[in-house]
Amino acid sequence: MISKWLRWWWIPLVILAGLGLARLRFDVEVLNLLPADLPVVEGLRLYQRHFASADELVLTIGADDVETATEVARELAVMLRAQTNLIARALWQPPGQEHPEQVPELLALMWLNQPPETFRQLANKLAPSNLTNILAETREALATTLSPNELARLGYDPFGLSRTPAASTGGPGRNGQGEEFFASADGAFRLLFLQPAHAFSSYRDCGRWLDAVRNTVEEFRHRSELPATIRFGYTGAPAFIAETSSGMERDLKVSALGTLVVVAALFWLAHRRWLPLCWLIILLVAVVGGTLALGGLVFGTLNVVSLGFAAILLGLSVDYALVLYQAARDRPQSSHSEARREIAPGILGSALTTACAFALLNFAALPGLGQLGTLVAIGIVLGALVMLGAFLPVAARRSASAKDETSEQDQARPAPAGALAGADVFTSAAIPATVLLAGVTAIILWQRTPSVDHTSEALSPVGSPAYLAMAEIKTRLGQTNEPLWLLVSGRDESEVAQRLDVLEARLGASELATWISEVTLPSALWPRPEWQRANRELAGQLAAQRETLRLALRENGFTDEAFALTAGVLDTWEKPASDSTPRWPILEANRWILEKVSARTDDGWVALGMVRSPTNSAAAFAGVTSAVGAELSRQGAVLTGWPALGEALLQHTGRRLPGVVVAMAALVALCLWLTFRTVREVLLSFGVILAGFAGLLVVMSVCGWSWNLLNLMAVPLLLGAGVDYTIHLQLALRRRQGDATIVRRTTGRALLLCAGTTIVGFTSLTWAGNAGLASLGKVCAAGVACVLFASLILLPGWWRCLMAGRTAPSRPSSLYRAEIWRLGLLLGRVLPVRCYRWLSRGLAWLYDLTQPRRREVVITNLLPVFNGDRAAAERVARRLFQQFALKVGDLWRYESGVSVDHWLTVWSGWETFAAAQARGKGVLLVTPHLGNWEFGGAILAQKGHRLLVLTQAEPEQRLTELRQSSRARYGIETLVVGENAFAFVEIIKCLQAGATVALLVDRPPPPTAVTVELFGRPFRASIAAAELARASGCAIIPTYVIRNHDGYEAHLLPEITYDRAAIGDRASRIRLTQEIVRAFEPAIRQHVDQWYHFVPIWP
Amino acid sequence: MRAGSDFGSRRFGFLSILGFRSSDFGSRARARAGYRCHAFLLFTLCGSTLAADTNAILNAWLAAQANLQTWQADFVQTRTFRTLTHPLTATGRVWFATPNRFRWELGTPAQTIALRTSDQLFVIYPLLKRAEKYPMDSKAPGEWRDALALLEAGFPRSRAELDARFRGVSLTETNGAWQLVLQPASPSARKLMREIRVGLATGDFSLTSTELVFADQSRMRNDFTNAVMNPSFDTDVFDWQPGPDFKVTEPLTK
Repeated sequence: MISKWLRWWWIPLVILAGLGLARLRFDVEVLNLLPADLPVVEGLRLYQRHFASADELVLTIGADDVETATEVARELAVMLRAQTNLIARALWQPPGQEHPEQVPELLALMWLNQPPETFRQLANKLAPSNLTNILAETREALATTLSPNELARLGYDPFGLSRTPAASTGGPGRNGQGEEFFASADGAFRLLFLQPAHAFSSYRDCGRWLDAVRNTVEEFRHRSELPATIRFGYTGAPAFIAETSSGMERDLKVSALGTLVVVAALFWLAHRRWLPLCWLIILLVAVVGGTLALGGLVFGTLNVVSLGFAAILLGLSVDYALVLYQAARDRPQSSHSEARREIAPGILGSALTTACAFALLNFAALPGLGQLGTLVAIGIVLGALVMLGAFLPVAARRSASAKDETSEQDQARPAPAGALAGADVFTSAAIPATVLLAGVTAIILWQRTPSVDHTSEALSPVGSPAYLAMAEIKTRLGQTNEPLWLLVSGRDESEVAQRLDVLEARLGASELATWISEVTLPSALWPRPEWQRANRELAGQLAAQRETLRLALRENGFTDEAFALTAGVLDTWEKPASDSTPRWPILEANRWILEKVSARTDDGWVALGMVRSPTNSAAAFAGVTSAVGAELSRQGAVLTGWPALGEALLQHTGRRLPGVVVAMAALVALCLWLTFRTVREVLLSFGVILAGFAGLLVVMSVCGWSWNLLNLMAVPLLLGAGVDYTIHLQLALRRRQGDATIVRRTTGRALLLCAGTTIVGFTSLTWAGNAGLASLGKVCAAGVACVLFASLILLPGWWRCLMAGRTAPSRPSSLYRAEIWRLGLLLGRVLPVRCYRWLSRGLAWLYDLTQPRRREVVITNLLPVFNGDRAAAERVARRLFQQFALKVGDLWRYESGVSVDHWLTVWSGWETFAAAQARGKGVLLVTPHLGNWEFGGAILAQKGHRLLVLTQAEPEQRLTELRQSSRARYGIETLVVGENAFAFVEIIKCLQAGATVALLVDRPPPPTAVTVELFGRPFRASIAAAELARASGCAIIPTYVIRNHDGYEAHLLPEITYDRAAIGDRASRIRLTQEIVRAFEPAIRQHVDQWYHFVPIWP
Repeated sequence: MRAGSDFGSRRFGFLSILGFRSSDFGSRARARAGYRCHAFLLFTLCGSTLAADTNAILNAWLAAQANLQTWQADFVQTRTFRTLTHPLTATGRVWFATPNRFRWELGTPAQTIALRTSDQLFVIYPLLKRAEKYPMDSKAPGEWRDALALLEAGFPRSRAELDARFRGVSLTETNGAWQLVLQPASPSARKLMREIRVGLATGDFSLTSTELVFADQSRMRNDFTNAVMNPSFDTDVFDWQPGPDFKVTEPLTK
């Protein structure tokens, strides 16, 4: 029933994926990539939200002359205004110029916002008795002034109403009411500001609207027969959104699909198999789609940089498939599950390490990169699982003829006779090459270290027409020295006004003159509710003097045209006002001006000011922030601006990057430790990463690349991505016992392909729509190439040097000690059998899992039994650990005094023993480390035969004594022979007296070791049995005790007969030893999971 | 609302050029009139049929420019505004020295002084202890440079330069003086200044008057008297250092 339900496991996954994809949204706002807690970013967001006209399209018109540009702008504006379903507002010149009759309203309100004392002075000045004098002064000034300002103003403002006390300090429109926002100085370049008729529902909607505007403009060009010299450009938020979103789609299509194509091409070049290739592509697409769906579930909205994950993920995920496929080809006779079982630890280890490294990007400076890191981390784990679970079953299906010749050759090649064999020229030259490369690197980096780009250019789009149009606007409108913005917030108009006054005074202070050349705050325009109320009555009285003022003008030689401005001001003052609500301009032209410097927020109001620097805005930002940053903060003000962003982000990144790198290094070190469990191999991995990083610096230096906001993240990325290679390669070196040649040919080949695909993945980002992402891809691609070089060329040589003599544990486990043995004896006494066996199995599993080197030794020992079939050896190794644990458990129980009477279930060959013993020349029972040989003594003791056991000294004297006393309990005598030659004399005497002696024939001490052959391989065996036979003429009976389902079975093999006279020479005794050893081959093969060798046995 | 429309910044723009550019034009024109305007007049009047003669006279006029080093004259300036029922007049004196220095003093005693050196121009108000400084070099806004080029066009250094800057509109003789009407070739300059009218004596082609006509029909006319060519005067007249009590502003600096 359960299995029936389990068949539908994929349905919830599909539902989840569907939900994720349905929830998925894309965010094209570049500021959302940046840390929100950074004041400069917070300020820019505030600026973008309230002052950058989030939905206003800027249409640029370039012409050869001012007349054409003006005419085109005007006619185009008229045409676009007629498209009411498309355009809500089209401005081609300052509204104040198009509607100058609205300007007096602004002047009137500016006067109302003056302190009551100032307004009273104005009232006094306009007293009827004073009017003649004022107008006489005006006429005199008109006659003699050469000031452009006065000549322009006085004729139309004879009473000086346009000269508010604060007029000189601010607001847009000071120089021509914003004309500089609409046209270049020569007039041949103009701007149109277009407000869409409806709010955009999505970025696609925005793109459609922009296309419609473009079509309208092109239709205008066609209808008006405009020459080709008239150039139109589109910029502003809608253009950026449309371009960025199309760029995202392009990145996904071109980068990801391009990567996929190159990956497929590389795979084809390497393996030339259609089925695996197609299946690989399907799985990769599934991984990317699944990651996208999971990203939708986790985040909901993905930002523009995060979409770069797809290419990176493809490059990384395909690695697992390639390693798996190579492993399957290396073992043509193994099943795919066997190949998978062998490779899975490496893949899971590297996936975990890489995923952790990418996930740590969440702690990096840029939230956008954090999302990218999370997506890649999710995708890598998903990719590893998918590839492990689904790739080989389909990809490894092949005909026998399709076997890879190289792999077969490699497979046929015997494992090296000892560790660190198979060194090739690269391995031998690795150390000199390392020294040489280090020297070259030092020289190059000494000459030129890659610089750091302090600007925010990394956040800019690449090849963007909208960006180019914006750059042209800056150039043509003379805005190359971009100002800083000062955003002043407050709960209400009064608080903002108060803060503006404080800040105006503070920022105008002389000590800030180094950084600030001009501060423009909208103080003069900002409504002052208290002063408006105080001035209202007096303003009304002035408005009542309308006719008096008009008459005075006529009497003093002015025409009625000179009264227009004054009349407009008086009109505004005449209008009734509320006590509670401050007066803001209501006419469109004036609202347009106020909208440029004021905005309503959720919490109140915000005013926009401008700070210009005499030299460099970024430096000004740093200087002003350090000098008055705290005070700005107290006043609810934020100093910000694009020029300041780069430096601020670099500082922020610089503060956090070391922490991220250290954390990532620690995490990677932990993962590496769990994988290798040797410090040296962990250090080797880090050495490779460092070498790769040094190589990257050299490449950057030679190519003239620099670090920037985004590509700094290549450091942790390389750490995560590059460590994969070191894991796979070092595990392969272990498996091949340092044979660099064959490792390069097998694993190295797979890694080459892996790195190729990863490099392609990163390189494809070079064409991404974001400059920083493109540089990140470029740096990462170069970095991965450098890490690959270090891995394949240098690492095997380093590994050979550092791991010499450390390839396998040559001594018994440190757990084989007296304390633990005593604990085992205690548990053997007190624990129930079932519990005892569970515990044994559990400990065996744990040991197998945590001691890969020991496991590798066991596997290597078993390989000759299986003719080199590693998969089979691995399977048996796992069982062997289990069997050994049960054996030791039984041994502890036996040595703790538990009766073993009922344990023996099968006994064979007793007649052989009886016959031999009857001859009275002694019996030598020889046994390998097969099964539970200790029980043999107990069984003989049960049958009334005393046994002398010859043993080596245990690792500890206490343990030796403990074991001796345990045997003695069963009447078994122990003789520790060690290297003591006199011990043999004693044994010979015993044998000659007809005693039964037991001897282990394998793993001899060096003095008694000779080389014979076992399973076709040279094998070190003890010649002691042959020596004792020659000396005593004893019978030699091979024997072994192995564990079965019910208990133990003892087998005495046929006696090894010999001619005592013929074994006088050593060569004959070696041949006798060979005969003894060979006698065990069938038994070992049959019970190989009880052939216990945990140290290397093959010479 | 017609008056209101005149309040727009477009007029602000061209009027901002008016004051000192006219002085520049006047001083230099007077200095060179005797040598250049003769040929220029003929060229403008006769058109292509007399092109060969015109060219000969024009070239001779241009060659004679080298003789002019300094020039000074008295003038009466008449300003006609749309917002005033009657024109405003003021008297003053002008000094000029090659290549481009001048000093205009308007009013007696001087109420306004326009002082140009090679790369900047001061508009000084001695009574108000106030001055404005305008750049005249490459830092000046393009519109400003256009206007300056336009005013210098009455004194072309070459025929090509003259053709590039002006289009001749008309040439008439009135009361013993030639009235040459020029239109700026540059659209941006034309946006500010509709016409330049140059008055030349028919006898020696000395400069008698200049008149700048702006887009709103306001006009500024200078009638020169007591003109002296190459007088010797102290060149300190072109130097000015603001006193400690002067307030100097730079209206064109952002």
